[in-house]
Amino acid sequence: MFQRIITAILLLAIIVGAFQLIQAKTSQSEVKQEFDRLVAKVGRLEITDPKKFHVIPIETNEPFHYAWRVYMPEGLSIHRKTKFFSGGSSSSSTSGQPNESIFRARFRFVDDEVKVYVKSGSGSSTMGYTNKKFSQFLQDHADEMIVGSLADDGTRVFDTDQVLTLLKLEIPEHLQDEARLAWNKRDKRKRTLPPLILTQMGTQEAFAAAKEKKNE
Amino acid sequence: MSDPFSNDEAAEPAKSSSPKWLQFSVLTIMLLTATVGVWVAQIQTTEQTEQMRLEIPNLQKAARELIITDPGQYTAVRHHETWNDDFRWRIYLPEGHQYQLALATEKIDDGILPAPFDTKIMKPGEYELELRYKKQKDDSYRITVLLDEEVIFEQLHPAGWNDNSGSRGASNISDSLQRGLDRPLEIMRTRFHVRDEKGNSSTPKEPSNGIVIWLDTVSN
Repeated sequence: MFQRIITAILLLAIIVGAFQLIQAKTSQSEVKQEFDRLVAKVGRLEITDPKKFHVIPIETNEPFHYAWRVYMPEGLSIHRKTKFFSGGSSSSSTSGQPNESIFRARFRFVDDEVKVYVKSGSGSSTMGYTNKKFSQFLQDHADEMIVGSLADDGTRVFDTDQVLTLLKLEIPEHLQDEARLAWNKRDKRKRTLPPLILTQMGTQEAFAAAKEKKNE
Repeated sequence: MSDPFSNDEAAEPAKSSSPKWLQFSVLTIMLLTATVGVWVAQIQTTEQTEQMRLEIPNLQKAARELIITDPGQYTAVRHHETWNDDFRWRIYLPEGHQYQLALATEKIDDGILPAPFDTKIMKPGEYELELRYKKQKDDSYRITVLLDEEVIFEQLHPAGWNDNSGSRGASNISDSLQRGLDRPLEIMRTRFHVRDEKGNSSTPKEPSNGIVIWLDTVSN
């Protein structure tokens, strides 16, 4: 008799549990669909340590277009620096509260000009380099450029004493001669061409320490 | 001679050390396992759903999507900029009213709405709004406003309308925001600077050129 009661209770628990599970799965599928759609759009930035930088790439589905979601801890003076051909731009700001920003670097080829739009937090700048041959060279070899980017899957976490290189676009070894010709760089020693773009961010102290280390 | 394999003692049934009520059949153990499995799966599914539900508002904010918590209010969000002067918004207009989208490019003062250059009547719903603002080769400016990718306003301003001395203000909307219908919703307000005789640029005290885009209700 006792066994039968136990069996009946367990069967009832299974039926109720299965019913609840079906309901939970149905409710989850709607939420998951929306969640997955948003994650595909902007990535999932998981903050594991609020005192560190957290970075996740955003899929742009466009060549020469890179974007990241960046979490910055509060109270840091953030310096952003971009080198583009022989020019560049830099800006600084202090993060009052912990905040999240979109960083973006996007190239466009307009007439004979290579243009780049760099957005970092609330500031942005556009830089250009007019050279028809080089613009064409870049478009022809878009897939061959060496892209050094914080673009691994998932959230990456960095200490705030580090300088983060968000994007470094370089010309591969086998295209250096062709690029030199297109760029019109006359260099008898044929030194490796500098990166087309180098976008970095970090605290003022981190940049100063990196500079000091480089000079040693 | 006794048979070593024989057992003279009468066979006795094996005695269990546990009381009878603690003895479970294989069926009971299988049912218990299934019960635990079903309920653990249910709890895990509910927890995962709750976690996703909690993360969705942040993701919507990061993706700059409309977050409509009160369907009776204006809702607007600016899409992420992917280039300079990239002004694109998604707007929601509540049911029960008719609306007017207005554009002004001259006689713009601080704090008050100027006389509109052009207007467009809009019905309730969700729309994509875009402002294209482009300097032409002859230094004139072409201003185009698109609604759901269709041009609704277009203006060509001669050189000098904006002398590139800078400007103050831009989009009034970034993250998704909601506003009551009791007053107009300003989407964008920018005033161009002008240069003085010394070459210093600043926003003039009197009404000046710029761009204002706003929404307001109109009587049916």
